[in-house]
Amino acid sequence: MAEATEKLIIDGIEVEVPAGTSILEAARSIGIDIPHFCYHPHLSLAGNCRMCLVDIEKMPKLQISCGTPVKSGMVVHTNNERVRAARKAVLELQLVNHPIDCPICDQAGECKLQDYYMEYSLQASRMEVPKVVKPALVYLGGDVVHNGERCVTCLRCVRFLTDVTRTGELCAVNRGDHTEIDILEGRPISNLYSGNVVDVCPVGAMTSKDFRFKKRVWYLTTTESVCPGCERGCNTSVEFEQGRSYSYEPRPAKVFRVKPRRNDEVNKTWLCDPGRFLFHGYQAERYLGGPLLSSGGTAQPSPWNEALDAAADLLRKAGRDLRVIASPDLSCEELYLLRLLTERLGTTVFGWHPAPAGEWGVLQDDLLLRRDKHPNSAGAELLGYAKRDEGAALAALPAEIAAGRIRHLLVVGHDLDAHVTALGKLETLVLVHWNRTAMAGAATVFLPGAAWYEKAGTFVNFQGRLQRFEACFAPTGGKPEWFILLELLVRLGHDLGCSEVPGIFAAMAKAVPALAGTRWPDLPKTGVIVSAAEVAS
Amino acid sequence: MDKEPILTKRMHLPGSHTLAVYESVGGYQSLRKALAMEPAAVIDEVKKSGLRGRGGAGFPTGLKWSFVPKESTKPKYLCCNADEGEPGTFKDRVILEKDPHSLIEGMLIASWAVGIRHGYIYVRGEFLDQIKILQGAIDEAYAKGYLGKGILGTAFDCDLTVHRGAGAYVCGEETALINSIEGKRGQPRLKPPFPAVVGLFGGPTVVNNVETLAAVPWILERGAAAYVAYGTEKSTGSKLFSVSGPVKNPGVYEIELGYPLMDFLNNECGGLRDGTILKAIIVGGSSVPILTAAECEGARLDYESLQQKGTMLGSGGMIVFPEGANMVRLLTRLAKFYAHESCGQCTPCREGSGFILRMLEQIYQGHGKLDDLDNILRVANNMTGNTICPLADAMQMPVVSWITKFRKEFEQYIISGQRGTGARHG
Ligand SMILES: Cc1cc2nc3c(=O)[nH]c(=O)nc-3n(C[C@H](O)[C@H](O)[C@H](O)COP(=O)(O)O)c2cc1C
Ligand code: SF4
Ligand code: SF4
Ligand code: SF4
Ligand code: FES
Repeated sequence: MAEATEKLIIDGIEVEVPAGTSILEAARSIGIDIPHFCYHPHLSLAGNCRMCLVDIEKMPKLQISCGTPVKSGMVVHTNNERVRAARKAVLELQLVNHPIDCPICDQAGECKLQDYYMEYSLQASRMEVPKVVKPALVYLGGDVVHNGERCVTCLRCVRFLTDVTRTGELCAVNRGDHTEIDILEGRPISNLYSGNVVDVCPVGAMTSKDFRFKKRVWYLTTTESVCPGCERGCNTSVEFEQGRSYSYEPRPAKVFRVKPRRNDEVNKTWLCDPGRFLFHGYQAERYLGGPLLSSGGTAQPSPWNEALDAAADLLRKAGRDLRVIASPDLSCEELYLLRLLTERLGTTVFGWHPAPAGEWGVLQDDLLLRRDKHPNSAGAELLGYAKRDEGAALAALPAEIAAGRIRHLLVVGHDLDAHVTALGKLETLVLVHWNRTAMAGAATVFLPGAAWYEKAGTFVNFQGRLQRFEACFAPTGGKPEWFILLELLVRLGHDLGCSEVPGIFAAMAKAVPALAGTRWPDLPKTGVIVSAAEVAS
Repeated sequence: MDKEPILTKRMHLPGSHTLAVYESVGGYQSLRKALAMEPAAVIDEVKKSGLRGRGGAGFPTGLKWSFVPKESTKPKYLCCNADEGEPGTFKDRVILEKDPHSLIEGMLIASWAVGIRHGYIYVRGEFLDQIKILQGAIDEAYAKGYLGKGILGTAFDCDLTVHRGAGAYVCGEETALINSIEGKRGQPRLKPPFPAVVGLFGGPTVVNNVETLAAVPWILERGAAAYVAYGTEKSTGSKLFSVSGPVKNPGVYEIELGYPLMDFLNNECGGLRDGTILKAIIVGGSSVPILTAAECEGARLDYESLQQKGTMLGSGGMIVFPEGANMVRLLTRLAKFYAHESCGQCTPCREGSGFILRMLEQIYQGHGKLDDLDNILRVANNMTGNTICPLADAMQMPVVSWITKFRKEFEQYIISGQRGTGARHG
């Protein structure tokens, strides 16, 4: 049955949208952004900021566009004299008690109040009365630091914790222009989604404890990425500062924060805190040196070409005796190349990354967090890797090595530190990893990889949704795993004839039936379903 | 009032708040009558009576009841609004004190008509004595089988619960009242949905003022036609007015709607105290536009006439001001009330009310400038018409009417460099 729709005119443009759509969303669908503070597509309606007023013909009063559903025949003006005057009035009132401390406010540059003021108001303050003083530095728990004076009382933060996490830590206290956002005494924000409280705040009243005063936002570049924290694959924007080699103070590129990117099917506009701050771990532990070749028991730095040649030689020599350990942290492209490599050598994949141990390993809820803490388990299955065995095969690794049944091992993207002693008994260990883990000492060749934000690729999430992520910047010292695998394949006589991820993707799409017809440049921002939805955990 | 009183006829009897006295003058006979009627017929009778809400907005009561869907998966509720917070208003209080059974009977009839099994009475928190009296009356009614299960031997069950407010004026707004009963922050809800569809605990809900409900038993007893014989064509029946200010006999009066304001003042209230001259009157509670003495001439106390005069009947809280009243000080005090009571949700009300208050305080304390007045008017006009509840309008109306009608006085005050004494006005 076709969905009921309504046809109306917004600013002279005819629009047809599903019945029940708000005027604000209808306008957004044709690229008209109606200014608003309190409205949020994934929160309950509050209708309190009064910024989104529009003029609807035949209605005496202006109406809030966020809370007024469309009706056929409506003629709406979103930017006429009357509307602009009303907006200006609301802005003027918003600024009565606002400290206007943009120069020291983290939100400056991405603040709705600042943007709207520039666009609609730009008036000198006629508000010559003392401002209401509120607490300007309050730690509310989680990642949230509150500045009451900048608050526009839109209650998005309160609604997030009431509607979404249902933990309800925040509430409005006091009334009138003394209204403040606060926690109950001794009950700080304590849930795994606190970062979103900062995201939903349209102004600088909720700031991130992690990001506070670290960087003015206009120095940051944004890249579309996907969180590698679990099999949900939340859509993210990774925000980083470009590296500088030329200035008086050279510094490497650096990620400063990760923000949710809207995908209504996957993560709406949310991220969990562990996923959001995952980059810190990578950034802190990143190995920044080049490849290492073991000679006479010590690891010696080696140029990339030589290290790759050496690794290829070892693999070729091991041939069918080589065992491979892969990881569902690798992208589809990398797993595809690794599969080609094993096929080339006539060998098989021995093992698989088990779920991370400890508290993080078991965290899951009905909001976002999934139990499988790898972003690409579904992709691996799609590419013919065995069902995840949760580490059963890996547990047998030391015994297999001790018994001499495994003598040559290639490990890509997997941390085997727990088995370091056993690894020492191997004849060949070729290790590809973004981090110089303890097992690097046992490696015959260590080829440093890249963090997820340093490479492009695709993951398939638990819904069977193929999602693309882009690289922020090139790794220091290391190389993306896909590059390393591509180079090894060339050395083993299999040249794919490409040198970038889109080319690998094209080859993979040709070889994997589920991906038939997909093209890297055409992949939608919100991903595409490529396999039957997995109902795991 | 020339005719027989409707709401106040029992109030002079000793022990009028007791069930025995109420029954002795025909109490609960209307309930008996209603229970013998079809619910729809009861709603019809109330519609025909022309009874309008006495809480301030004057919405037709029968119509309001008919908005509640007959079938509902959720329980329906009746909320009696006994919050009586509007400055100058103290008329519901006398009903609670002197005639609580008329309210209980009215609530039972309304519940029968709408299909409600549970009513709440939301009483202003400061009404400690009145709450005791009301609860006493409810207990008596339960004991006598007027409340509870199988009322008067029928299959009709109905319970009443008294809920004591915590002192917020805004909780008199019907949806804030509902939130407050639910134990939530007392702030008005965005409408739609209206309470008749989604109200208390998510169920369809009727909210009515005390005086509105207390008029219902009489209408059932005597019939709609008898009620229509009171008042004017569109403003039928009688209304309570609570009068304060320098009149000889301040207090609560019942009048037939349409009664001339000055006659009411001079005849019923005994006129102004000796030596005082009338300056202005607020007829319907502090939030309605003020009338100057000249405007009071010819005004009649009914919804339409007062609207023609640019003001409103409101709650019937009448405040009389004598010549010599300091309008700057009084308006500042009033602004303080509204700014303090704004729930703080809507930008215009939250920021505008506080801003106007601080401007007025500056003027009152002798730091005002002449163009402050236009600035206040501009902000006041930006506050109205576009908020979640009418509290913003309730502040705008007095501010604009006072400053416009007594502008000379405000200007004089500013120019003369007067200083209000004391840091706190009022
Ligand atoms: C700020 C505000 C305060 C109000 N206070 C009261 C009150 O104290 N008592 C009351 O009956 N109605 C009050 N009202 C009106 C109610 O919202 C509602 O219209 C009324 O209770 C409906 O009853 P009625 O139809 O019988 O008048 C108030 C409205 C507003 C906006
Ligand atoms: S802190 Fe931010 S999100 Fe919360 S009410 Fe204030 S402005 Fe809105
Ligand atoms: S839920 Fe999973 S994918 Fe989403 S942010 Fe958290 S760890 Fe990352
Ligand atoms: S108008 Fe004022 S009192 Fe009413 S909801 Fe808005 S802020 Fe609250
Ligand atoms: S966005 Fe519509 S009222 Fe706030």
